[in-house]
Amino acid sequence: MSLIEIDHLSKSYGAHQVIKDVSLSVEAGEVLAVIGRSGSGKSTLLRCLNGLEQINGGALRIDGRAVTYDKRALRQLRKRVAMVFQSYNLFPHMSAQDNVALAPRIVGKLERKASLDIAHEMLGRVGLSDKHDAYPRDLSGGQQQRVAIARALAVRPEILLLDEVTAALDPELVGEVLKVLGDLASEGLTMVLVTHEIAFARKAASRVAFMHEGRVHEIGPAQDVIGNPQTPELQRFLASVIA
Amino acid sequence: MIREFTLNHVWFILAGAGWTILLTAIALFFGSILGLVLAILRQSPNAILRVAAGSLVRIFQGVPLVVVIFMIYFGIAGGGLNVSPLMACSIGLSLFAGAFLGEIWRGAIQAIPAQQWEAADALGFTALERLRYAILPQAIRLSMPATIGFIVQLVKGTSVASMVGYVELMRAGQVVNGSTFDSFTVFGLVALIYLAINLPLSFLSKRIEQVKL
Ligand SMILES: Nc1ncnc2c1ncn2[C@@H]1O[C@H](COP(=O)(O)OP(=O)(O)O)[C@@H](O)[C@H]1O
Ligand SMILES: [Mg+2]
Repeated sequence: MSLIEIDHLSKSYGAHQVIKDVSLSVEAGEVLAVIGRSGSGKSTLLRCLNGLEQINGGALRIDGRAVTYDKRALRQLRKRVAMVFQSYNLFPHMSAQDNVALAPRIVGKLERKASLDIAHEMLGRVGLSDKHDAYPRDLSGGQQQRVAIARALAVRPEILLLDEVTAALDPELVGEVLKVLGDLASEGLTMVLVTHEIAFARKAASRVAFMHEGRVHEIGPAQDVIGNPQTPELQRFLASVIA
Repeated sequence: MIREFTLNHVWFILAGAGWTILLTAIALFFGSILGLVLAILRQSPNAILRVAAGSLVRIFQGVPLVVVIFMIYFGIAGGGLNVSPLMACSIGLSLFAGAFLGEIWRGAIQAIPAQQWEAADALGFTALERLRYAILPQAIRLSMPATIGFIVQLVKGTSVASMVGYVELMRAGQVVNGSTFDSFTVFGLVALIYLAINLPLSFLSKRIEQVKL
């Protein structure tokens, strides 16, 4: 049994079908990179995995359990499947440590002290031990995104979803975030990451899925998919992002 | 008999100002609770709650405050219940404040970007936790200038209480004017006291506008 099982999944917004019969699975400890043009359904697929979007057809199982959308099930799901967004989405009225400690305290029901210990541990993992009290507005984009990663890790999820987490960053700040992701990958955290950083995907991902018009068009080991694309769509896509 | 305007009159007017502040505080306290509930209900997934809250806001925004207070004071008293002027004004002003604050805060809640709501969802928060920890703290800050602007309106609005005989600042001025007939001095003083209450609020609002989130 795989940690994530996506089985003939479809998702529509009104009459517009965005995900078309997608099937794939992700093993525990695996890093799956999802690439593809804007509008091909990458974000939607990712958002289905933590229940931010409800699926319309097919099945979705996390650790063998079908994803359902009642309140309690969603809360459990989101403790296991955490997400990091392109625009960080930190809470601007809270310091870095409070941003990270909030979910352990509220969702994890820990005492304030214990939740802060977790926050300090997680901020350490992303290299921000000196920024406990900094507010998001005082941090660079790269630092904010690392706080956001720490916040997602703080509930000790089994799966981390990352949606173009370096796309909003100035080029010189991308590296520090990718380094954190590389570290998490080598620690064995299961990740599904949507990215335009092809070189990073090739290096850090175990497998790459190329999405095209709502379908998984090619999928396989990172080296093969990126190094030896089979379809003209993927060839054109790679040419356009690498050029 | 026309009397001199004396220090005693000043004290009487100042005492009236005290009741104005008390009335404002009461209306603000209950109005904030009502306003918060209305603001939250207006985002409710339940259409009935949403419409009910919206209607309440529109009614108390659309009907003059004095009419509401007269309805409570004379209307309920006519029904045989004894309502004091303070009670009638407190209820009327609280409803008035609740409606306006509810509308201000609803706007502020809706102004918080969708990504903030999603960030809270992704952390596993319930709808109430999302409001309590992620959305409301930001919305309340965002709404501060408008909220304080409304409190200034509320301070002035309490003068309506004079019309049911509650001796707040305005009524105290009328009483003193009735015996001294020195209208310019009396209402000049009343005006200055209203200003003295409201100016610090306006300055506070300016200061808060300059604080970034
Ligand atoms: N909330 C939504 N409502 C309607 N259409 C949406 C919504 N979110 C995404 N879409 C549409 O779904 C398609 C796929 O979007 P998305 O998953 O964001 O693609 P990607 O992340 O690959 O750029 C696009 O055509 C987009 O316009
Ligand atoms: Mg996207």
